[in-house]
Amino acid sequence: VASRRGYAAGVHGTPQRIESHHGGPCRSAATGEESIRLLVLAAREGDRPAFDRLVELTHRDTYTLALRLTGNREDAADITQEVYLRAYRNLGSFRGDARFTTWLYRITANCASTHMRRWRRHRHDPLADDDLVIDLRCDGDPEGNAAAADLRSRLAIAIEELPPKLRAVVVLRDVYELSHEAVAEELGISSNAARVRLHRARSRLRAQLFPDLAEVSSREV
Amino acid sequence: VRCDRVRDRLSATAAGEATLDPEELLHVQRCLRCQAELAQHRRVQTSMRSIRRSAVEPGSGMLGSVLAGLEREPSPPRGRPAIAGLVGLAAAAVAGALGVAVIASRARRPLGAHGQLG
Repeated sequence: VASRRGYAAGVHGTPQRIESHHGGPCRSAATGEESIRLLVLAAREGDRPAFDRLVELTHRDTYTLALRLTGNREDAADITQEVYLRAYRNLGSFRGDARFTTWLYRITANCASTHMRRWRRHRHDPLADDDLVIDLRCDGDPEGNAAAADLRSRLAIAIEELPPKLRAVVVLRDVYELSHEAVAEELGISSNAARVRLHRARSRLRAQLFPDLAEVSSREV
Repeated sequence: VRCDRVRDRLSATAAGEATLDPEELLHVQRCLRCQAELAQHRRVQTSMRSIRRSAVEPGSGMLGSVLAGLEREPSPPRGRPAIAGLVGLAAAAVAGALGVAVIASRARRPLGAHGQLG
């Protein structure tokens, strides 16, 4: 049984934690995934501290996804709490044929969908300036990174401004790379509906980010 | 082929979920507008995937709150190893075979006085 002390560093730690464990911001994703796999094995055998460590390593990701889906910090915190309760109760059913993080994303999507249907809330908090966004990319091309960062920033705003139904589909499919079927299943919609919403969401995002082409009419070639 | 026909498929093509047929491909090769739109969809896709690597820091009390909530949970049932599943499957197969044998043996019994199964 693994002990807390023996657990390797995580997926999304704070910058300080990243420095202390890895000596820099570029971390080995494979190492993180292997750590999580070992922790899941231990947790499935009843090792409670192992599950707590899993929560520590993944809660920022889970909260971030919940926030992207709901657009509301309070809802995102509620959903994060619910996600880990469900994950803990159902850990025995996690077969390990998908990544643990993907399994958490699906639970998060399902919880967010339920939460939003239940409360019918459309509260929306845009990311505040004091929200700490932890950037985990490796630096290598400052100019390219600046342009990419600018597009990313505008994209994040455009995603926030999408209607919730379109936002959920595009976030789960294009940002978190869940399959069409998984997206449809967790949101409680048909696969066809998920594809239609995805197409609409992508078209809106492109048109918002690159409006220059909007005025050009269709032509035959 | 007009832009309208191709445009609906550009986002899925950029995402690697669809491929353009030869006519559509030819159109894109000759149409600057569709080329630009496809390139923009690809940029959006790349940016989407990079967004995932940025996390928003939750409030300072959230982790503690999640862990405290878990403290109140009873221990969940442990995950069953694969061998346990196989044993269960074998037991179900044996039970099924026994059931079939019982039904077959009853079917072979002679008819009763009134021509009914005894």
